[in-house]
Amino acid sequence: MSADETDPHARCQSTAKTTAAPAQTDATPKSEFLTSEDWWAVWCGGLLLTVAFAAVWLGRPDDFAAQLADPETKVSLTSPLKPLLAKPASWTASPLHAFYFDDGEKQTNTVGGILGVMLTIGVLFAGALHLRGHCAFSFLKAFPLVFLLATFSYVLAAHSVVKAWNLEYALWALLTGLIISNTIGTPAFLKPAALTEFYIKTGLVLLGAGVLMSRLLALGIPGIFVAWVVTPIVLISTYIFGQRVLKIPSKSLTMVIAADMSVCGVSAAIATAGACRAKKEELSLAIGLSLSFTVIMMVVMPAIIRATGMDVVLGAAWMGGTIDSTGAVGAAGAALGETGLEVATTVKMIQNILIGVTAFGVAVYWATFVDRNSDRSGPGLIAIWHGFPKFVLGFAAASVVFSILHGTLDGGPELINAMIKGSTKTLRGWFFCLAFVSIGLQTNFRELLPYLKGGRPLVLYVCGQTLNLCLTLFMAWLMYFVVFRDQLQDLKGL
Amino acid sequence: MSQTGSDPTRPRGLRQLAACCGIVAVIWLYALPWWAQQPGMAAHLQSLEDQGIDASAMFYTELDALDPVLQRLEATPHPTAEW
Repeated sequence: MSADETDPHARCQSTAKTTAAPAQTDATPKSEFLTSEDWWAVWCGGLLLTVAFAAVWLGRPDDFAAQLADPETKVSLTSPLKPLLAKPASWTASPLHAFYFDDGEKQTNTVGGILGVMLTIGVLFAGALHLRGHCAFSFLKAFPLVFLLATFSYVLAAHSVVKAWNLEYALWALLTGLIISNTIGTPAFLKPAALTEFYIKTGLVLLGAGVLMSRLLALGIPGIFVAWVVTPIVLISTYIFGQRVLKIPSKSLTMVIAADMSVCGVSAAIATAGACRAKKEELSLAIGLSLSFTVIMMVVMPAIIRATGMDVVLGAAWMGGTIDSTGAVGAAGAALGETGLEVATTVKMIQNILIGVTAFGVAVYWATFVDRNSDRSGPGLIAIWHGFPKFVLGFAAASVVFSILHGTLDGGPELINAMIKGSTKTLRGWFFCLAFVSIGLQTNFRELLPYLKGGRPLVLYVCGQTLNLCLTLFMAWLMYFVVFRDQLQDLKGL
Repeated sequence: MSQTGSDPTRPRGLRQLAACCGIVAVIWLYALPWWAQQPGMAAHLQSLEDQGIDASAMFYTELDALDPVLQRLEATPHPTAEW
């Protein structure tokens, strides 16, 4: 996100505990580790990942090794932290069911887990802000209300019909914040907890633990070709098209739209926006475009595939490589049957894993070629290091460490899955939800209008997606019907 | 866009906020539950739930439908597993 967004509210301003601003400009490398938001996102994310993994590791059953050794036993692990961390559950008839539901067959109680998340993030961030030399008290005063707005957004997103249409919580969190900031205005006391960048960066470090490179080969070579050959071509082509042909003034906006369209929607947009320090309005616009087209594509593409009699595997791989959102790919794939669901989601999962390489590559490119302005003196690598968003290192490190654990530990997949599903997935969702509420609270509708001028972002998305559709269809046909034709019957025999 | 008590636009802002809350309430408390009960939508929602598909999933780790796929692909015997 944009580096020019200073956060004057992060320090105690109206309380007795006034702390001097950390010296950012002349910080030595040592002080940067202790004061910069990027590094603190790494420390906070790292701490959460360590605790989450330790909980699963220490909580594994005594006979876990024996269970793994027995091919007849289905090994299942659950994180001990799971009951302590939750988000509002899916509901249909009453929003109260997002917190408590019991019809005899199905029971849900998320109140304790939601409070657990609030306590975890509140204490962690208050401690981090204090250690960075900012005012933890102002944050703690504002955080419960910002968290309440995030909870409200989650409840809106958790309605079963809203979920079925792929209208993700990011959209509702953004709208919730926007409604407040553009009607009554964001109260000043809320701003110390509207820490957009800190939430996003910490959430991205947690996301890194789910980017498991060790899973790639297990997912199949044809899918890897479909996802990993086409996606970079489309990403780079769309970026060049936006800059050279459409002449979109903002390079970061062009990159975020190109990434969310070619990789995997909202999650890719968030990761890329962090890597290229895009403005919050640019991220909002890219996500709005992505969600709008995803809703259309998840309905239209299965219909086209069925109407044309296209092979299920080909159609599913086509959808997996082109529909932005992972959940929407699942819904569209399911419309083609079990084989369609498996092929589409597998291709999408491979694209999901590409998010790590994309974010790291964009961060390096930005620091090397785009962000080297005149105020950053120093030769070569030093200048690149200064411009590099350090939290991306945390994101990459989490991906590498957990890929190694996943691939080398006995029971690695079970341990990592239990950690992600029982704790880090939930926390990451809350961090992103809080970030989008914060973006809404800090944004005026009028600030979004210049980005829509001339409709160039829309044209960029449509042109890029058209290229994506053509190339992915060709690559899917080439891989599944020519190069790896022998695997086609195996897939259809699922 | 912080507000003060003397802001003359505040009453108008409160009215706008109340209107937005009203729209949200009507949609989420009436329209969506009604839509979810219609036969076509109800069948679609049930189908998604049965298959473990959360169409709003942002990342593959949020999609329960992938669990069996991953378990099958990653299922390898661990004859030397020792702790």
